[in-house]
Amino acid sequence: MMMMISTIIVYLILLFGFVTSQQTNFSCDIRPNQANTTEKLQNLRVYLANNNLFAYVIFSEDEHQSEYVQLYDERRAWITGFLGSAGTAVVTLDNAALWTDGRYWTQAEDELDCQNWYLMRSGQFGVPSITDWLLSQANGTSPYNRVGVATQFVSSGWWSSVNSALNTKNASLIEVPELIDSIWQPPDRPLPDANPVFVHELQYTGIIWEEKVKIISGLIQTKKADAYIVTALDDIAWLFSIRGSDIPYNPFFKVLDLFLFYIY
Amino acid sequence: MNQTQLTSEAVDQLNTVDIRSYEDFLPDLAILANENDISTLWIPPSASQAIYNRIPAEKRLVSSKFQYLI
Repeated sequence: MMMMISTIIVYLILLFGFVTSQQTNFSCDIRPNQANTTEKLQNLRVYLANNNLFAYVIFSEDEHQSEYVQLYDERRAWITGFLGSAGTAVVTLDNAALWTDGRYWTQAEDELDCQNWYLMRSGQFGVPSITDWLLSQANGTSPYNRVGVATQFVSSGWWSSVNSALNTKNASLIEVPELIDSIWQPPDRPLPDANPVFVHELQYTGIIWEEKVKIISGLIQTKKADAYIVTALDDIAWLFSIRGSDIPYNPFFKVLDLFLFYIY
Repeated sequence: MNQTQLTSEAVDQLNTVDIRSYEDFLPDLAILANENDISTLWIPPSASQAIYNRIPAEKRLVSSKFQYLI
């Protein structure tokens, strides 16, 4: 009986080990769609060193946390080669990794430069989160106590969560200028789109924009606030009943957030 | 935003809106947030950390936006 139990335990350990190794398999299958990012990473790591950082996080989103962005803002796609709309990249002094969810694993296997990048299949058993991966390398010694982030591209919720975790290892997130912008320049980089912004007719909106502002002004008053800051591009386009085409396949235009005051 | 993007009809529609350049937003927010007659600025949880950092904690209200309107 004891022998049978031992056999089962050994089997389970072997099975667990096999499953874990399969799911965190970083073997590189080079494919024709994969870009070579070696030089880009070398250039970025110069900026990491100059800013005394051991890691830098690159998000897919623009300043408005939009999943779909204009070509100018596709920083994460440019540095990784992976063109999917969702994913977060982390570059350290020694490594680089991309996290993306199950919708994009097949695409990432085709496009991600696997000679330089680990593909982290978010949500799969045994795959570390961004936070856990950073924690595994962080310590209280400079530069391994500093992770750089361009704060305009990250939600305050993400920042708070990851920074709290890093603090347990005497490390922290550091606000830095966007580093990809320093190494990705024209003519390789497209210019920002600035297409016409036009009126969305009343027959489609059903209400003039001034009425929307009055309604929201009432909500601001209810919150006992002086102003509300509108951040999402779709919110801004809706509010003012205008549309654009700066973002491919989306009727929005690039405008940095706006202040909406309570109207006294 | 870049005002040259607005069509003439859009300019007319927004003639009462104070439109400023894209790059001025964060510096202007910092100035506004530190004005004495501003007590509370409401931001959605999805607002960036850059916005969050520019509003003093005692004046910052983080609360979900009006989903039922937008």
